[in-house]
Amino acid sequence: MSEAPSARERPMVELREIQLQFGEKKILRGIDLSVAPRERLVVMGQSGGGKSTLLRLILGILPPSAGSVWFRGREINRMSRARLDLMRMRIGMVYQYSALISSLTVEENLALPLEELTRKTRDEIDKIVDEKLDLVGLLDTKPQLPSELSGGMRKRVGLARALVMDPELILFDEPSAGLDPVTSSIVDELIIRLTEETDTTSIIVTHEMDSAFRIATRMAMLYEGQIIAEDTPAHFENSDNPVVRQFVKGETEGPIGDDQKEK
Amino acid sequence: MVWLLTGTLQEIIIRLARGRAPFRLTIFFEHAARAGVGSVPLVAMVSLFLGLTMALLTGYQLQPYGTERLVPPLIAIAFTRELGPLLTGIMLAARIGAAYTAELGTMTVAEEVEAIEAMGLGPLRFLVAPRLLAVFLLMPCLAIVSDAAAIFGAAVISKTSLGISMLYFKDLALEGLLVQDILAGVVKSLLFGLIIGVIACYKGLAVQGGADEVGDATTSSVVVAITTVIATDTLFNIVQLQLTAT
Repeated sequence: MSEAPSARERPMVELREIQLQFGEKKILRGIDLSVAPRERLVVMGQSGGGKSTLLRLILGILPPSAGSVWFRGREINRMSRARLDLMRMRIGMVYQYSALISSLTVEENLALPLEELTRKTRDEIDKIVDEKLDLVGLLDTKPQLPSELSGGMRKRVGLARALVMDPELILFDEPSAGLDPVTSSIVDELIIRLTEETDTTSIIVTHEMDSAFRIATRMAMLYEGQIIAEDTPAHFENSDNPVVRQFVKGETEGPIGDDQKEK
Repeated sequence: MVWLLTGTLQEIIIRLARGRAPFRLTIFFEHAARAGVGSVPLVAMVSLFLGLTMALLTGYQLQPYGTERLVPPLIAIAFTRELGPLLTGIMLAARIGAAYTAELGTMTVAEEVEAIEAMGLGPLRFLVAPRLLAVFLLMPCLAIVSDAAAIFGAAVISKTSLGISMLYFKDLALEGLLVQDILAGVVKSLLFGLIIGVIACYKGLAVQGGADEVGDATTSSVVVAITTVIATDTLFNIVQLQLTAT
């Protein structure tokens, strides 16, 4: 078993030489990435480039073809099923399309992990649900079904659900995708405020540049299955890397377009 | 499909080791009511009509030889041992198997199942276990409903067309029935329930894609479950007859 990082410099999450392959298709080709506590790391990259897959690797839902994923100094892929479930309780995940359970009301969606995974009383659960819904400004949606909410509201409820277990790490899969600019900004501000207030670490996967620069304390660019750049937002904005520059500025001419033309 | 059963068992054991119930009883009762109570009218009606028809046709064939008294035991044995569980299995595969696959398939496509896994809830024990247990336990009950409805239908025809009174019908039916016929029916029903539940849940959780794939999985679930139920029934009869012969 490989050696765990030392406690002094222990990152919250660490990916070491991660490779992922589906059949002949190589999705990730040797990813090394670490996330420090209280950081908001934004991972950018093209659609279908394996960004969301990174989040699934961290949750242990997908095993890597090679390499290892570490959470708080423990290797995820070597965890027993019971330990993996305990680790997942410390991680919140906000899905691109919310993934709220459609047959349950907003209130029941939020209460579900608390009822199933903790021994809290009904009153305590109700209090937490109210508190988290209040944080995202949707207290009055409690009796509604997810299908009765707008996309932005669903996303905020998804965020509230990710917060109910007071996680140490929150993973966001395209938090701004499909939202109008105002709602997108509201969601971004919520992410910043909530992660700062609760000292939570977060990994945000997105290809929305405005949103990425608003949220990030650090950024990483995923391109052709590899992390080709990793820096602060300020450095990213003025990057010399042609791929990063093209992606950030949204230009049509450059290495990314050339690749797609060749394909 | 073996993965589904072992995975569900593993998640149940983890839950029990933590001193928690594997799933909420209310959820189990909801599924039991839907799979069991909700299926009673369909199972009873189809079986009643089949009982009527069988009594009518066998009576018509046997009456010229004066052996219409064979109709009550024939119907009783045929349904308790064979047709009751088989018919119920086919009807439940279509009614409940399709519903399970469509529900779980839609949840899988909408990433709801993954979200349940990501929260550490254990999707198999949470989603599959109560559904599986409901269809497993309710199948024998429904098979008995099927037996009763068919036998009642046959009794009505025997009285009106064959001149066999209800009371005489009962005596003749009980005379012909053996406990092992009833037991064989119950064991088969349990087996069919398990088969339908496992196939339906597996097909639902294995969906990849969108609405089209959920539709395909639902059709496939019903076809595979019905075929497997009939094949298992044949196999069960062969084994049972071999065991009886030795």
